[in-house]
Amino acid sequence: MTSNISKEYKIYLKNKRISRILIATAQIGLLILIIALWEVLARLNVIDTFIMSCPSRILKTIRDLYISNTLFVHIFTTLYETIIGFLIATIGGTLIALILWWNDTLRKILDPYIVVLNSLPKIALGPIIIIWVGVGMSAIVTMDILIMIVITIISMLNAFRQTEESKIMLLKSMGASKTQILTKLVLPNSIPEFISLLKINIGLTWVGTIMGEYLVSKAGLGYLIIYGSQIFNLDLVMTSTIILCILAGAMYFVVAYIEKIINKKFNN
Amino acid sequence: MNLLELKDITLTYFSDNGETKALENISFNVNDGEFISIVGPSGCGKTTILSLISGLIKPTSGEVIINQNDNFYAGYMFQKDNLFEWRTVLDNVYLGLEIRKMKTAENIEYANDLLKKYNLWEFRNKYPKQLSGGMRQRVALIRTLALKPSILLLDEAFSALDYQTRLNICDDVYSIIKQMKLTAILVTHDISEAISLSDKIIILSSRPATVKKEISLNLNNIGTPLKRRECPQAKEYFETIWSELM
Repeated sequence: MTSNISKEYKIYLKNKRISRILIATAQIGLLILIIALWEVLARLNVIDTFIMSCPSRILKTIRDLYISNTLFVHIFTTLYETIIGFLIATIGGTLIALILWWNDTLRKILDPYIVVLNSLPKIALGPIIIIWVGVGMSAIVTMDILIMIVITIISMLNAFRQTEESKIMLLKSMGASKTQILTKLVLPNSIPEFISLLKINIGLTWVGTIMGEYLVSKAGLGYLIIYGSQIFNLDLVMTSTIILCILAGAMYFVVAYIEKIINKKFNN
Repeated sequence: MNLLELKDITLTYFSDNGETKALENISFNVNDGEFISIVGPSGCGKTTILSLISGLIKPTSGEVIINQNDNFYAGYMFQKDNLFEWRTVLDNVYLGLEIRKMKTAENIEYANDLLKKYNLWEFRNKYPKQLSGGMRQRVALIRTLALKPSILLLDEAFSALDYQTRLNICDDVYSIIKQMKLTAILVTHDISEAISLSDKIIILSSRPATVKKEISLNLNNIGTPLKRRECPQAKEYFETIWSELM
């Protein structure tokens, strides 16, 4: 097939490749430019490093944290809370949605409660969580779960309920049980919605964890940010924020990669 | 031989707005190997009759009598092909076998043979979205046939296809049904389609539907549905049915 492509097509491919390289170069260039500008302006005393920090001081802060053996403690604490909260809320919320799909009466009964819980700002529950589950990691994970679980239930329930009626009729005409309708049709049919939910939750789980750490924590990146701002150590605040950016980005790419694999499998 | 019989069937729907009588005293016989079409004004309850026969709903009164001892299965074909996008052609065809827990080597071979016979074997690893509308409907038909149905229920099964594909698929399905000596009931709003395929046409009145008239056709010696559509007798039948529907 490659042997008989036309000259025009070759040009088309070449132009496309050039444009791709151009965009990637610009993206990396922009990052380098921002970092360089930040550093230069700081060295020239145009910006005040006491409130703005600068790349070299951020690197130094990372090194100091590393030497004092606390860098990875903070990273892993936050990462652990984020992932545990994400898994519990995503899996738990999907299971609850399944139960509500299965039992229509239960769904109707609980509908107004879910609507109210969804509109409630979860941060308002912060003090109650601390009193009920105590200070510590469990409070943070609880906050994280609360942020995600209601929206998970709502999105997955909608996805399950949007299964085409005529496909359900087809299975029923074949004599399918409700379990078969679920496993053969409703679940595989909801996979695209499940993936977009994963993407939403990846964003939300960071919100929940950091908010939880702001409320109550002894370690973690959210703790470092709050601690840094209290002692006016902006280097620490900036450093933690940038590590957070990198982690959140990495986690998003992991999900995007999983999406790619699943889409390939299901040919969507 | 009489395969099934609808006897004095009445069906009433209940909703918040009151009750609606959909069917009233519907009676007719379906003989083995017969192709029956049901025509009638839109919304009169044609589809409901198919749902009754397949057992998806129960009549308010009257009964559907099935003269087959065991393994009665009504293969239902819808206007939409309802293929599962995440399954390959082959897995779509096996769907019914999985649901009915009869995915045996013998049945798999039967299904594979059907795919080969109707020129879909080379597409077995493709996904539905890679197929044309006509091919998709043929896969849907094989999915139904793989279950060895006692009767085929076709619910406007060709209506979603473009006209040319529709005529071709009609010919295909007709020859498959005749080869396999299957009994079939087609619900359609297309009078010509009904004439081109059927041994008997049942004309329903508007809601609540009653059997207005049964017409037996004698066009079997003419040939394919396409030829039957064009023959002079078809025009006469058309006029009779048309005047009944007015």
